[in-house]
Amino acid sequence: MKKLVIDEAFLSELESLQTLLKNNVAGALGGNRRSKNLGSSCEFADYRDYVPGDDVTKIDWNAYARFDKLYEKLYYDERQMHTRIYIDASHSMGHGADEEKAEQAIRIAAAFAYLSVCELDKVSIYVLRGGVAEEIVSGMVGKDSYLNCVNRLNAISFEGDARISEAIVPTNVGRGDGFSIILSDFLTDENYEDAIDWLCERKRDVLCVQILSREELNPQLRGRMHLLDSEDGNRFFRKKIDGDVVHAYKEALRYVSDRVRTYCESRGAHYLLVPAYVPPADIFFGQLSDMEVIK
Amino acid sequence: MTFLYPMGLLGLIGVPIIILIYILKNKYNEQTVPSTYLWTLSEKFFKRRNPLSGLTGIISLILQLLTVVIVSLAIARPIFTLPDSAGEYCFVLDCSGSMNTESDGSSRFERAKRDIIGEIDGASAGSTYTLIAVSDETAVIYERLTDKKLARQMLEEVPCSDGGTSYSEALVTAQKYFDKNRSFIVTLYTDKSVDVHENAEVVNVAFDKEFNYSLSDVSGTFMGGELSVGATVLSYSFDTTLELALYLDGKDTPVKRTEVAVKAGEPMSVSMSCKTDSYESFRVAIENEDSLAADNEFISYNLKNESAYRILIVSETPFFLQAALDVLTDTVIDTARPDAYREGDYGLYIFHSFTPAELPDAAVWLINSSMNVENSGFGARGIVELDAPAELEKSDSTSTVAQKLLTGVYGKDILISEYVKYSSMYTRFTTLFSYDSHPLIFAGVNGFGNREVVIGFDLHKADFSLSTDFVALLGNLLEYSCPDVIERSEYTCGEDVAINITANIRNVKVTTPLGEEIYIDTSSGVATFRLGHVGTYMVSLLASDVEKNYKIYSGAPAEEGNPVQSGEAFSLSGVQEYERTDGEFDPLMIFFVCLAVILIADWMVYCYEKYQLR
Repeated sequence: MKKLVIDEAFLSELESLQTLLKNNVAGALGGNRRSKNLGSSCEFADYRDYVPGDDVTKIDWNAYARFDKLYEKLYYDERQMHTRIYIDASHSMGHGADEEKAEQAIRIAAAFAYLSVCELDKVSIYVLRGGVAEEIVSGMVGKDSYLNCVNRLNAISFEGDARISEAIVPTNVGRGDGFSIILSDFLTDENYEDAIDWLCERKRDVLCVQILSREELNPQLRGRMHLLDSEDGNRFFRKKIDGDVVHAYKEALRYVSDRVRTYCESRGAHYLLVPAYVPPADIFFGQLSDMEVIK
Repeated sequence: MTFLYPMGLLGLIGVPIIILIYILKNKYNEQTVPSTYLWTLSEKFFKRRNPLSGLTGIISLILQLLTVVIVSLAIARPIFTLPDSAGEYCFVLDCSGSMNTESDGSSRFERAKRDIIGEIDGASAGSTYTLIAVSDETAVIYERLTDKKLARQMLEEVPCSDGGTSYSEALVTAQKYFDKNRSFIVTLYTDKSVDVHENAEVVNVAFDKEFNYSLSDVSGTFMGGELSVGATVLSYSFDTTLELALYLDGKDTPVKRTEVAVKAGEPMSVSMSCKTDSYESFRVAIENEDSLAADNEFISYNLKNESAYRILIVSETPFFLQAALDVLTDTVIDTARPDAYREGDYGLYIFHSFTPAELPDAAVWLINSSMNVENSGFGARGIVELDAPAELEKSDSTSTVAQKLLTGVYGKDILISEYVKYSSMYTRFTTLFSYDSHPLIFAGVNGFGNREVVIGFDLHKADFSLSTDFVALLGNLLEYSCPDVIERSEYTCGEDVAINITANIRNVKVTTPLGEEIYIDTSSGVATFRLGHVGTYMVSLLASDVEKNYKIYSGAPAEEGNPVQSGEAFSLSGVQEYERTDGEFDPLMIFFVCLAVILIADWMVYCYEKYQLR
């Protein structure tokens, strides 16, 4: 697989963006993300009557002058978000000479990771292989660790299969503390709905990115073909591929995409279909911005 | 199923070869894809927008297989059999004159042909067809033919004669086939009412009601410048008034017309007369419109002037011969002494006690000829004198010529005192009288092909010339030597006409009413031909290098005009069996076989794929 090379220009552009969270941020540590809870940030939230014992530095003396009564100023709390990125490391993602789906998944993961560390959030990256989510980046905070993160992403090997729900649900996915991003081709009947349900239940903001290669989106195969599945040698498709078959294939592709999209929308999660050949800049400054996942 | 040329099936070896090549050439391309999930799922959404598009991949295979199979089968010529479906049909078609009877624009004969064609078309392929045409003669047009098209074509070409119907010969012919195969399906197509028929179907093709009249028994008498003609007319179905006309010498304008009221089924005699100095022919005709026109007219030709010939007697004493011949014939008789003899334009030369240096090219009598002459057909061995008069022995030969020449000759008590001994006779001579096994009166054909009569004794030295047998024998010999070319001019269709071929006759040609020209063999003394049509026949011949024409009329047989004739029988002896032979499928079956081959090929490809998928 072609190694991911850091594009500093793109990363600097990413710094101008920030992710938009729908749910409260309930991180344990203070951070750069405003919480709906009251805390000690600089952002004014409300007043309340002073009670002896309160922090006298937060008494609003201007209000005392006007109303002759002590009021305590209240401020929003700011917490640290924990972005968790799950990468489908099955063979289908890494198949092909150029492994374009794998590259695209790593590019997107790296971009989200950089976006998060720029916002002082924690970033964890998991590789989904078989029924296990292997955490290759754990709680990365700050740009210092980003280079190491990229190295680990480049070290991912795509092989075997990936059972998304079986891998994600048993792990610590956090609660109400940020984004969970699943990068996969979703070309499976294996259960991925449970993972989405679980993440949404844990008040995570979920983004499912379906990455498909150019051949998968617009197959060029014709004639009598015996197609072998890259993940399972026992699975194959044998048919004379002509216009009618390709038409049926595109119907199936539309069905699969709609199924994932519909399920995500029904759970309040985001869904994005990403062709593997589209540059990340178009994704982040185009599709994701339009979806108001980032701004 | 059998094959005419089974070796042609070797071409079918190409079928598995083509399929093998197709399988090897059209292997599935193996390729690994990230996931077959979408492809597998596409099966649920798959539907053929064009049902034929699925065949596009094997069109070339189909065409190749079709080509190989069709070529192979075309060479092998398959015959598909269907057990017990074919029959052996024997059609007996009445071709007599009455079958020409027309109604509503078609004749009975055409109707019969249509019926037979319907039978042929409706029969299973593989059936055999035998066609027997019956008129005065019976002819087997084709026998156990299997080709329907050819059977139809040959049937169409069968002509309808104007003659009568001879069931007996047809029955013998049909019986012959029936004896060979009791399952023969014999069907008689006729317009006669056949009362009895066993083992044979009879299809009556007569129409219900027809205007049909006939003219018969026509006779003419010419006397005193008046020609009187008598005839009998008959209307078969209706009471009506018939208009008759008399024509002379082939002219279109009648010299006499008359109307006759006739009752249905009752013959009526009619007579007409006209004044004329002479006539060559007269024609009597019923002018009313008729379903069968053949029996509505009759022509009589006057042959009297055409038969004249001359006789030359070469003898020192020709008197008694001349006197006897004068009694027998009106022919001009010339006489000449032997030293004044010159060959001339005579039909008969009679040499008495004189032998010419060479025989003339005409009929000749050699009486008491003791010298050899070339081409006479015999050799003279000298005169034998008898010690006492001896009696001639009359021949008891049953040959036609002998019977004819000895008609009216008693042949007893003819005594001779000497005779000329002949030897080395040709076998073509017919001996009439002999003595001591030596032929003395015999007739035949000489080396020139002319009729020759030899009398081997001197008439002056025998009492033969004084007997009554002499005149009778001379009459017979005269008729034999100089016969009328044609004896009469009125015949009935189906009769045989005899042409007497005399020595001076060459090149006899008969022109039928249809314009056909028939050349008659003149090698025998009497040539015959059969009248097959109603109408005027022209007999043309060269007699002494002079062309002579004789017209004779062939009238319709009286029984053929009768639409209600009955009493015929057509029964085949034996017990009918109903065993059928194996029939043949239509050639269309070849296409079904081709289709089956294609399906098998497709099935083999399918099995091969399944085998790979297991």
